[in-house]
Amino acid sequence: MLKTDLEIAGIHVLISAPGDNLPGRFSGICAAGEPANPALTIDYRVAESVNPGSGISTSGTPGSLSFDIQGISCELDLAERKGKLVTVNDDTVLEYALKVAFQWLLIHECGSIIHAAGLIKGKRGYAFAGPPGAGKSTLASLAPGEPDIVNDEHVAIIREDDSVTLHPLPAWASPDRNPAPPPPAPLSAFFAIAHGESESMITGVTAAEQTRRIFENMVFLPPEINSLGAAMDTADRIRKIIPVARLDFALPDRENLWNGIEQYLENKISKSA
Amino acid sequence: MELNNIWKTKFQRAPDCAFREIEGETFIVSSSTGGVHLLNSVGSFIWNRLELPATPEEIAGAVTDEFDVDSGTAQKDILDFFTSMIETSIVRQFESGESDG
Repeated sequence: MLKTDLEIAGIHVLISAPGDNLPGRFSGICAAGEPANPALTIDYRVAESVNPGSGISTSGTPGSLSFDIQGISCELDLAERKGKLVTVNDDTVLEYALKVAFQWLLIHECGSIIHAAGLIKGKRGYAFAGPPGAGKSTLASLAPGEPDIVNDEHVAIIREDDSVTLHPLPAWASPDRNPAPPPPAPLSAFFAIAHGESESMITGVTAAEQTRRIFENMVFLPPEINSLGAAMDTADRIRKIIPVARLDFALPDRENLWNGIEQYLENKISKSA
Repeated sequence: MELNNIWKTKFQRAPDCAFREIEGETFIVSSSTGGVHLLNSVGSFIWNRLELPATPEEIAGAVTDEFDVDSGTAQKDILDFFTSMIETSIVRQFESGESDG
């Protein structure tokens, strides 16, 4: 029985599988160094056929989750810190199952995988969230100076007491990423991007809208009521710590954009001081 | 469903919705459709009422008692609101024979 320690944003999952190691594409999330105390130990098996033709079926209670999708059968239990996973012999199917499992663990640790570009500029971390094509990567690339781009597609954010940390999400299928992503950093603000016409604009939104903007950009969430409730709570706790705003992004107005972002943050920081 | 029928039909929150009330607004997510909804203060008032089965007619009465709105406007707005909630599956018709709480 071979055991592989996988890690994302400080969350460890020990995969116990008979036979060979996990496929090489997962080496990007293999933990290095001392074995950690895993949040879950998952017994993994490959089967020729798993739930053929089935749709998504999820069930759960607080702290447990079962999901069956074509090619995947998974049961996770936080109290027992263990789970079972069976998939067909397909790396992409296994990767999807692990992403759902990690996201489920993260939302219970007051964090989430977010569809966002993350960057660190000076001492501040920024997340720009939005659907494909919203301008996340463009916005990050327009940052003046030499910011560290954490990732331009997915990041993990985690609330820790009175701060929120921005974590790089390892590249699942390209472990030899060069340059390596920067270390985790404090997240200063979360911007939900919308298309602007001619002028870029930052707009404050209500508390519930802030929670919604974070939630809507959470990815790999299991469609199960307890998990969704935990994700909503996580989003709500995060928005209580950092500014969350809508950012209408208009490419013609890019010159003023970063000045506006910095000014918005200065105003928020001076108001909360 | 005909509008006239909606008016006197009992509805209740769909059981597959997760929701949180945040500073007077209600944030709802349907686990079956994936739909995300945000209700303002009046919508939140109605949502709270729908913990138990109620007709739009009953809800309209409660809304006019609670908010500064005339009954004609309240009736139209509440019918529109229920139509929207039915279409997005965040409420469901209460079946006779079910326990109503």
